Amino acid sequence: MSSFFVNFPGTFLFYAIPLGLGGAILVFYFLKLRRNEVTVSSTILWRKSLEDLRVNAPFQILRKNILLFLQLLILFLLIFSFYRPWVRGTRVQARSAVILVDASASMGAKEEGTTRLDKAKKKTRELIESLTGDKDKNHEVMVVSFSDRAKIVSTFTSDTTSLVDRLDSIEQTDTETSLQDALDSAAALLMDRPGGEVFIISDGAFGELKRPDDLSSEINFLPVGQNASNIAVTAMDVRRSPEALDEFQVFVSVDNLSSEKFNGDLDVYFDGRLIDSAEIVVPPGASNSKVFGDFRFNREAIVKVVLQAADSLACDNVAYQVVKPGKKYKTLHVYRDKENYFLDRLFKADPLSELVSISHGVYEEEVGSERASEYDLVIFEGYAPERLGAGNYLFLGAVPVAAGFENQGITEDPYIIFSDSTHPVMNMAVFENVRLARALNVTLPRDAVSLVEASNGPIVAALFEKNRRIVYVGFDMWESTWPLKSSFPVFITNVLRYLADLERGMKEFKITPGRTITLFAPGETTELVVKAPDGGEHRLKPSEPGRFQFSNTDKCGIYSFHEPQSEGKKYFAVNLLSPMESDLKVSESFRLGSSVVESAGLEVEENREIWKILALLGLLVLLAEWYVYNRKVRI
Amino acid sequence: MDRKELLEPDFIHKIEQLRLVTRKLLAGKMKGERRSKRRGQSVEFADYRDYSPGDDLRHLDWNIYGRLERLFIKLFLEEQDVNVYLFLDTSESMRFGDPSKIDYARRIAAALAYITLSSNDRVAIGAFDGTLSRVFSPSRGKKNLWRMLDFLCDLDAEGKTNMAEAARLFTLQYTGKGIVVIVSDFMDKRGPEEAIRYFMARKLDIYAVHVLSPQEVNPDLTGDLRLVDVEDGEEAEITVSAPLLKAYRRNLETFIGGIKDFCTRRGVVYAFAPTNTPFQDLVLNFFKKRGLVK
Repeated sequence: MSSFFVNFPGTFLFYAIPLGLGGAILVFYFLKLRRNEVTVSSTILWRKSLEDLRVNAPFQILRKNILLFLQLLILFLLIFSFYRPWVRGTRVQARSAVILVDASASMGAKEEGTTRLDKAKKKTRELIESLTGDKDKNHEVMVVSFSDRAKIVSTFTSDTTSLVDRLDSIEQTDTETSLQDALDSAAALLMDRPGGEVFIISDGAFGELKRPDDLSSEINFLPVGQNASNIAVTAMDVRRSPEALDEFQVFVSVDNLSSEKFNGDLDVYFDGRLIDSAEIVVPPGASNSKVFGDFRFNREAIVKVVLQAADSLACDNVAYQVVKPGKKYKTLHVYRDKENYFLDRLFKADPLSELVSISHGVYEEEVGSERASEYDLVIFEGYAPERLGAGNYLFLGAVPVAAGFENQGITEDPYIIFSDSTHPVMNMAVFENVRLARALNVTLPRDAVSLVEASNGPIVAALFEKNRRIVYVGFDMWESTWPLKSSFPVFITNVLRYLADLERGMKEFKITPGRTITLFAPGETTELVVKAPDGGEHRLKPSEPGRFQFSNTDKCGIYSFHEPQSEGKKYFAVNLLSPMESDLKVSESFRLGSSVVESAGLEVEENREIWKILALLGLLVLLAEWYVYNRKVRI
Repeated sequence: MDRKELLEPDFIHKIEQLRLVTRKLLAGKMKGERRSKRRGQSVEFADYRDYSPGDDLRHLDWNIYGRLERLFIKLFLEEQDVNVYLFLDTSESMRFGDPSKIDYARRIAAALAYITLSSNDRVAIGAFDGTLSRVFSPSRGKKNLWRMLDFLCDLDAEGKTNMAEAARLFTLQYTGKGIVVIVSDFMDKRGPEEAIRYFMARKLDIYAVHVLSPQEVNPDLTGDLRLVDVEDGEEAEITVSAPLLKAYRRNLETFIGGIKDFCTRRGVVYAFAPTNTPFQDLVLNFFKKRGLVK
């Protein structure tokens, strides 16, 4: 109860009525009380007693007038209650309100025998009851839950019961928090509802946020939960040995998001069988990593890492990865004039790769665009076919006209200006020390990305299309120092592995919660059954032949998928691996664009009338006055 | 109130043998049944004194002369009658109470007067309000009993109290030594002290009987009241409350204690007699205990 208000209408009557009635009480009070006359033998003793009492009584004036004061108080309370005073209370004045309830992973943290999400639901329920409690005002409320994306729980309504009932449908997810999506939704929902307000019920940790342009409503942040300590697996990777196809190492990183040192076990399971365990010590606020290995196997397996920690959030103590059987990278080399000594040497040195070299005539006759996709990578050297099918292609000193590149002639003695080291195929490949005799001038298709810029324009570029990935190198390696530079083997290997892995979908078998995954199946497959870690089954239809989009990945764990008639299951893993989400500190404010939204609590401005309390008080004082009158404490 | 009510036959029988006692030896006018300060021809030996020429030789103690060869005159206490004055308050305040204070006072007066008359002493009754309003002149012997009772029956409580003025007039009128019994509620706004001093000046043996009604000792008033003084019509507006009643009782105690203290310091016997005390007990026990009768 922060303030007290009365609507002062400023009319004459407002002041005249209480003053008049108060004056009347005073006048009546000063009129002589009607007393019964009693004859006594003498008034000496009585007079003396009266005087004694008057002299000795403390606050005698007050005592004398206590009935008057009580009567004036009764009058004041009753009149005041007629003016319907109100206080700032916990009710909300918003005509339309959108309540955004956080259901992200951190809301699953256990506190005092319940979860943060349960607390958030309780708070939402109170807010709904507060907002829609006054039926006369017809306030409308909408509830939206959000994690990595927003989900409408109930549309605008003033029906308290249905709003509260719908709250049960908010499910805990293991996804990261993305308030932006929810704010954008709220802005859209409130666009044609002036005077609306947004209430965010969350434990915070929103990251960078931008205020939606069309969101003019007030935003209230109601934090839930208490700060809690947490230990989390924040990174996990199963890496194949560069030397052997069947050799693996498991890399795990653990973050300690508490104020005390963590000392616990880290267990590694292969298909549910414990194969390794190690103690890990993590200082408070720091992270530590561990590498387990080398494990040898060559089949599809589920690697599970379990951190033995009794903390508030369980879903981040486990991480999974599905490991596919090792397979050699098959590369086809198509040359115009002669075999490539450097490529041969390079592929012979890589135990995971094998190279087939053919002339372009043989390619056109025996392989063609249809069979090119049988290879993990096709390298065209000094030659570009007229037709290009699906697959991964590397063009060396040839312009892939079939893919939309335009040949613009040759530039003599160009020099390299810049290379983009952020692209995966450019990883550790330094082109700046390569000297060129001449290079091709090309105009890149719209979707291509320039990776190396020379004085004549792009000389290395990448074009990744739906079924076809092309990397273009616009100079003849025999007319450059490139084969002698380290960037040559590094670049070729990068291209092969990155493009081949993309094709195999290796990386995509490990995603974060809430992301959409593309599942591959033979082209004729019409339905795919996905089984979630909680046992739920989802039946998918192909988005295009052989591809199925699956987005119900809200829970961490291992998902399996198979064709309905087939028993052969394939797997993919969903892991939180988010230090931000694992951090269970509760924010009291967050940044929204350039402003800061502070915690509002439930103390939201509202005018709550208190005339009933005043009238009741008046009645109580009236009873007290009657009691005092009968006690006759006054002389 | 008639005579029978004043003195019931049973009660007369009980007080028949009582006599008023004076702590002072008094000189009466006639030989009576009481010791007098006047030493002389009586049977009761009092003292010796040296012989001086002119003394009655019949009173010389020859035995002492035989032993000591000195002449001593034997002195005897001469037994005389005594004056008993009853000073009765008949102001209007005495009408108050149930039983009324005036009735109670009349009974006391009647009992004491009867004892006096029956022991052949003299009794005088002075009734006062603002002045000495009526007087029963000194009389002796039971033959005056009916007259005395008629006098008391005829008394009526009216008029303001002025005890001092009445005492002054009374002591001027009756100068003889003796006992004075003041029966009053002492509700005199000037106080009873001056009146008592008048009696003390006459060297009278003084008894003060303080009569109050139970309604005065424990008022049973409630509500908002205007109290009217029965004598002077003075008003006091009160709202009866516990603190007020407490203050009243405290003041009543102070009032009674003040009079008692005044009396005790000056050799006056004080007796507090609320009218709900059985009258016979008062005379037979209380007065006996206080030495007024024996």
